[in-house]
Amino acid sequence: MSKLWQKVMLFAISLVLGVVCMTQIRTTNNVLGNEDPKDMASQLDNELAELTLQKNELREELDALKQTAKENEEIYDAKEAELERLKEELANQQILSGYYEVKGPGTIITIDSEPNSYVSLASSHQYILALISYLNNAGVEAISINGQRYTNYTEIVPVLDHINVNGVALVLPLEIRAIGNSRTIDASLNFVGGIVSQLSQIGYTIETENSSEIFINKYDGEKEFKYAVPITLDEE
Amino acid sequence: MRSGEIHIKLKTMNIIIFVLVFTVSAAIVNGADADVDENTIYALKNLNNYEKNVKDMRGVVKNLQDEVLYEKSQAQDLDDDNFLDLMIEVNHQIEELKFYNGFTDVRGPGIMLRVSDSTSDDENLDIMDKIVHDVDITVLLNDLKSAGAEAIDVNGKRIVNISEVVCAGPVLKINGEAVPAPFVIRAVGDQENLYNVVTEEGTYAYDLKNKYGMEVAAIMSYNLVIPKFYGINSENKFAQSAE
Repeated sequence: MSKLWQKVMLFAISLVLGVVCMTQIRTTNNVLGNEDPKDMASQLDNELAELTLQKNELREELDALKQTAKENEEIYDAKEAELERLKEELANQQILSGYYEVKGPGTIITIDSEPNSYVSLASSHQYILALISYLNNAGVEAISINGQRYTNYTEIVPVLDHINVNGVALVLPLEIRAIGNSRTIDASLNFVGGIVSQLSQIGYTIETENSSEIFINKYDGEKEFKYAVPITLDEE
Repeated sequence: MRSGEIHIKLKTMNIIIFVLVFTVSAAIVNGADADVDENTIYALKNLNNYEKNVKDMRGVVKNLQDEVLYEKSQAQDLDDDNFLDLMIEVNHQIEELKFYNGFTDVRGPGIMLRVSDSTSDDENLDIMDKIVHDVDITVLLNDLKSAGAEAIDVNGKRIVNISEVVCAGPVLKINGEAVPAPFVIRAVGDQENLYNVVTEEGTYAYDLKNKYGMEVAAIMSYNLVIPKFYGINSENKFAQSAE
């Protein structure tokens, strides 16, 4: 019995010693790690140095990219502004060309002959030309005569008793539409000895009607240039 | 004797066990120490902090990399917006319209027409009939247009559809500027047609010269340069597109 007890005790002690011994080793390993703290420190040193270098490089790259982005944005804004300006200029030139319908405030001038007088529209075509000149003097932006847009190449040709405008025959009454400042138009036409009084003297009646919005047709013909050549910047 | 031998064996055994236990215990105690002194603990703690710092740094670098990628993708987007083509297209349209509207210098063959007040001694002529009036120039310009003039100027003032030719006392006002006599009208187009429309009998220019004694002289030219329109009020304030 005493021998058995001895063996059991021996086994138990060995077991406890073994467990304690292994725990001890493992704990030490856990705390200290497999590697030497000095090695680890130098490894971390290296990694940190590399990461710091990378960080600096990335920071520089990012700064450069942001600078480029900022410059690009400024260029973008400038381009947008330039495009906007060009589009405005295009719209302006389109209105001037007469190839687009336009609307705006202005005056409608109706010219007819007095009931008891005979007037030849053809022989007074210069008065119509003068009237247009005085409308332009009032700063109008678009003119039409009986629906015919007055363009850069519109001629008023007397033919028999009528006039041709843009090659279309027009007879009385003439309705001249002009977009612009109505008060300036009135002043430009109605001064003493002005075009309205001249037309009245030769037997025409002139009625003017101001409107906050009048429409003016576009010109639907074409103009072919055979002789005039634009002078480009290179030539200048 | 037998029992005496066993007793000695047990004793030896006990001694061996004692030595073993002592050795193992010593090893355990030695292991528990395991060179872990205060400095080591401090170093370990620092090392852990250090490791954390390095980990943070990795995060910073990763974020920076992401930001760089993002910025690069944004830059790509800007490049993709193709402004240049649009600008060229709009510019082209503007240039075409400017040429049509008289906002471009042009050159070409044509005629030059010089008109100035009458020097006639005819007493039947009214003094007002001897002066070149705005309407005279307006009609001459209209005649030139009907003869197919593609570009016209009067004393360097380009005539366009918004040009006025009006009397302003002793001078004319064209495109907002005073223009004195003599009036030199230049027109680009078919030389024959243009020349005929200001020289043939029955034309307005013919009458100015032969009825009113005004100085009217026309010559053909192979290369005229007509300046573009310089107006102060060429911007539309009232008219807007109705399309």
